Amino acid sequence: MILSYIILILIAGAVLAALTSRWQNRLSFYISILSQLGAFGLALGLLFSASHITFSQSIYDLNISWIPVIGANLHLSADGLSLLLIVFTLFLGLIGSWLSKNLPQPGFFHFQFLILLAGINGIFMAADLLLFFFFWEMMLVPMYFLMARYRDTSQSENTPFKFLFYTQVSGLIMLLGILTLFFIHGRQTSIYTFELSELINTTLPLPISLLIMLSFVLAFLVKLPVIPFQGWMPAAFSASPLAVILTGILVKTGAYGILRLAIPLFPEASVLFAPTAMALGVVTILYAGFIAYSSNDIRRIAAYSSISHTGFIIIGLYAFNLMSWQGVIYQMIASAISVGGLAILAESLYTRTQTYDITQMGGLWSKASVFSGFGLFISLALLGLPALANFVAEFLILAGTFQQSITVAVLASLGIVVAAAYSLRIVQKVYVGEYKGPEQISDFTLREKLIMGILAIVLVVLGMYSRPITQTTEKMLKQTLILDTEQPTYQLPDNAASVKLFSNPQID
Amino acid sequence: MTQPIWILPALPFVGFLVLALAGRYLPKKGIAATGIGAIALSFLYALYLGTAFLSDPAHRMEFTLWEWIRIDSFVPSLSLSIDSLTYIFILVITGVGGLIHWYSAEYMAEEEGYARFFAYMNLFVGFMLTLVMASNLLVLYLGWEGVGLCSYLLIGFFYRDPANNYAARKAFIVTRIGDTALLIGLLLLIREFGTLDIQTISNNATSVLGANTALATAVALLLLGGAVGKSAQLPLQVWLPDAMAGPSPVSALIHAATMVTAGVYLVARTHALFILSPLAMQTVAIIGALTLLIAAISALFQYDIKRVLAYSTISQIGYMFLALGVGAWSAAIFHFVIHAFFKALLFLAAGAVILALHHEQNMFKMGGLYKKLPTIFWTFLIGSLSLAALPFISGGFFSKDSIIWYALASTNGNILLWTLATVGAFITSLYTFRMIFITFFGTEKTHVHYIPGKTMTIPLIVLAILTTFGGYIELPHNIAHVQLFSEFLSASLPAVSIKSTLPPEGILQLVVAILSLAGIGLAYQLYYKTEPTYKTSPVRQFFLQGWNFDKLYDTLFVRPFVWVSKTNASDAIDEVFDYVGLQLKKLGNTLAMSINGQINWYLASMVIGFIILIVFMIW
Amino acid sequence: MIPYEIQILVAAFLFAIGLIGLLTRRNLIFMLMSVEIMMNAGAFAFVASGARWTQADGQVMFLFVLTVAAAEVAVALALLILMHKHFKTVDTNQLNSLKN
Repeated sequence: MILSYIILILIAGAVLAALTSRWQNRLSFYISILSQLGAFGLALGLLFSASHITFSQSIYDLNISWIPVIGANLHLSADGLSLLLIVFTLFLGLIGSWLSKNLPQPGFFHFQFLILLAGINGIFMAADLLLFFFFWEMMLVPMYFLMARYRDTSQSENTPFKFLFYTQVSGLIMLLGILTLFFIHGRQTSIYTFELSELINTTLPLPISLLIMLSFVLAFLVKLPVIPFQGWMPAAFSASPLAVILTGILVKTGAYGILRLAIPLFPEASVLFAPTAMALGVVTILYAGFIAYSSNDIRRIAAYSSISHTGFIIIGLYAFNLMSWQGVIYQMIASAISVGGLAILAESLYTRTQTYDITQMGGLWSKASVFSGFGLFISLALLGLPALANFVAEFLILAGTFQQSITVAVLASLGIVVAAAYSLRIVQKVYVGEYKGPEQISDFTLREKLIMGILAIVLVVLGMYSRPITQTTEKMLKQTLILDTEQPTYQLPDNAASVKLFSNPQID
Repeated sequence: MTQPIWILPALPFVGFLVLALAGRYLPKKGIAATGIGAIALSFLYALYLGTAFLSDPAHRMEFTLWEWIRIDSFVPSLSLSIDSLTYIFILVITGVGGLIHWYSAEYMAEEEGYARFFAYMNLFVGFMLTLVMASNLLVLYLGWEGVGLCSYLLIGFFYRDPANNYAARKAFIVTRIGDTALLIGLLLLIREFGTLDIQTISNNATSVLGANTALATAVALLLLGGAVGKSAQLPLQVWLPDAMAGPSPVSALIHAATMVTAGVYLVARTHALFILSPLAMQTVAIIGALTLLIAAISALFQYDIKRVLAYSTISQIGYMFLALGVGAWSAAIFHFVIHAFFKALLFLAAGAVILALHHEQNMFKMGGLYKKLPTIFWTFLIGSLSLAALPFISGGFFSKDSIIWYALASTNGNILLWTLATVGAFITSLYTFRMIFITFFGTEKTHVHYIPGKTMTIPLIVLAILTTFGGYIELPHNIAHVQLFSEFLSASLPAVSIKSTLPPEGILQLVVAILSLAGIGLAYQLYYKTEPTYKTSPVRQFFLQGWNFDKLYDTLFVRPFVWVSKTNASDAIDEVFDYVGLQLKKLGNTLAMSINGQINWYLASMVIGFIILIVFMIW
Repeated sequence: MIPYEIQILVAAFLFAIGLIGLLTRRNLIFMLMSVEIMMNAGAFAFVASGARWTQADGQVMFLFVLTVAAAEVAVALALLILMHKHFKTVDTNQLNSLKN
């Protein structure tokens, strides 16, 4: 029951915010913050006991019969991974709301925003496939409206459509996959259900398993995004200022989907797919990095930087390794924060210089040193400087991947050099050199300092102390690994010592 | 024993925080006091730790701060430790570092960003200490990248000139290539050992990797890749000459005394891995030997005084690598210490000259300074004597001499290495005294603007004393039996193994000594007797530009990268999808033409459709 | 009696006249008149068929058609008058704001 409160509080907040905006515009902002804080507090509280609960069987589960005819239930559940992502989503949501304080039509904005957050959190809690799909679609509509309404007028009107099409088409294919799985399971066991824990036990012949897995994974790959489905992201970033925070939250649903659904439901097919996935990942890292280097629009750099980070995620996911999976979770968080930070800087730059083009900027350090300090910090985070969370993420992913495939790990490491190239290019063009820009330019306001400061502190703390994240997700990841290694069809490395460490974990 | 050794790096980090956050509110004296004070306190604390340490150097001091990462049994913690190798580095970093900070108080006094400078310098010292005190390779990597960051920040310190930032970027990216090799090496170590703890790896190296296996060689070569990047050796040496864009104290501290020796530290620290692979050791030695010669020749053709010193540093570190490669571990470290003294001295003195001549760096525009700047001249001369390794009266002699000797005498040494090293010594004294004669003698082309004060000259004098007398703690065997230095290090580093039949040491020493003096003599002929002028020719250009490595890399790597990046800047894959979308839109528009609002048209189409239906039904 | 086929032919003929008028006329009023003709043609066909098979249904359908036609004409003329008021014309070539 308690899990549903998280969603219900957000929806209640959404409705209230929409209604009250008729009388008092400001009020909707406060209602929104209040409901988000409520949900955040609730999730945070649950997080502390999170390391001990199992998905679909936790004491917090909510399981109501929804459509008995086809065996769909409203089954909400959570474990360490889900709660961690929920807490993180709400954290980013709070930051996003704070940033959007002065947008026009706050009632509309907060209504859509809170529904979006509710949808995303629902995805992390859904233990029933139809419910999962429901929430998946639920997060698309508000996103479209937010992008369309708060669109930067210099952008084409197609950009929200682009986003919608990519995600809708892939979502549709995923629905077909869900239904196929549903029917096959039903024919096998004569129980027709959408319950995840039941469907995991379906035995599927490999070709069918591969096809259905691909239909699922397609949706997630589009969400992440991975080459060649990355088209919507640069458009989304340029379309709207708050798109960045939103996408930071959205894309994690893709990685979550693979971890929670694709790999447990189709272990052999996943292993078969792994080389392709890793190849895609490497291509993504390098391809996106190259483009980021030549881009002059700072939002485009942010988008491709995010895509490059996602390449690491996909590599880590398909390494089937506790180390790389911890790295994946770390990367989800670190990437969202660092790219989000870059986007916030981009907006702050725009309000001061009226441009997003870094070739028109220069020498900001002489006029706004606090701003530039944070800018430098974010660039360092993007290139993976140790002591910051991004390094831990990439390091863990590479270390884990190295156990599986040396070639992939080595190629992915090249991405680190490319990241240094494009991150430092931002510093060179924007913060150093002779000053180019309007006469009077103001340094960071208190609000900006606080927001960036919070993000910076999170990056440093997570970069130096990993327990909060590794501890909460350890149990769930190990269990998924067991599920996977029961059918090891890949070559384990010959060295026995390392195999014991990373492929056959013991559960306490 | 467990002592709070974390205080050592913590002090400079605190200094950094204070200066970064509150620097703008402090007066100049306060800033300098904080900056210098943090390092001085570290140095004093190191001395205090030393009293406990020196009584029994076989001991280690360890301290673990907290668990950094925990994945099953892979638990790299923030662990620090001090053994004799680390201790030597600590003393050099904090001692020489402290002197440089003191010097900077006057040198940077007129520059903008006084607090920022000291903040970055403190941050650097903090990271460097972390690097040498790291007890596992992940913490070492943290310090490694940290000093790279500070190097970037300080090279580009005068940020208004974009060329400085470009040099900083170049340095960072070139070292990053090395860092990536190091990272892959770490990944390999994790796979093989399941841990990155240095002691565990060293103890189990032979059993896990096997002697003389491809695996051992791979690990060692990857670590070497990292070392080569940070220490500016072949083939990644291209960033150091450009790094001279930073202020002179930066060049002294980072690009002479400490950061560039991090590679030397790494190889020495992981010697257990290198010993397993003779191929890797040979590679180290050959890289060292080639680098020292190539850099020395390049130094001979420079006209910027700082670039002479930069190439000189590359060359001297080549000597250290050569020593490491032939297994003369403590000889390499000894040279590191002496080099830190005289190179820092030379950079600081050069900085004093530059400041005195109002930022003139071209030697051919200097001259006749020995009368006007006596203290600087004498300290510079003492440093140069060490660099040229003049027999007995300079510390450099003792350190370089033992390296050259071991290049032949060690079991891994051979006559080729010895020859390269000896020729290098000749060229070293040649370019060194070329530098002196052009800068300090002859006619005065630029007038002295400003005489540096005590804050700048006292550190010079201290360093001069250190460099002269520092050598006496380790004398060659055929002269006396003073082996304080290598005895101190014997707990951490193995002794060098020597061949059984050897040519007489004395004669070879004499050869080297004669060549050093010959170098001075030749310089005297060419640059003192006749008025030096700068000539250019294609050959001279080639050596001036460091054997055109920059051009090579530009063509091989930079241009292709930028070309690919620019060509695909609008994301070809995205454009494919966009094109499809555009076509669909066009199709839609075409179809929409049938909705033209004309009623008659609608009616006609209805009728036609109806007729078609009827026809279908009848058939 | 006139043969049944001729009667249907007449009805078809009338229908065709109405259709052609509908398609070719530009003035809405004439289009309405053409529609009337078409409806009457249809009704005629019903009556003829009723007579052929001697069933009263044909005549009943005729009454239906007539009623519907009347109602439809009433509404159509009302709309026409409003359109004229609004657009100042009843020319279908100019009444095309439903375009695209």
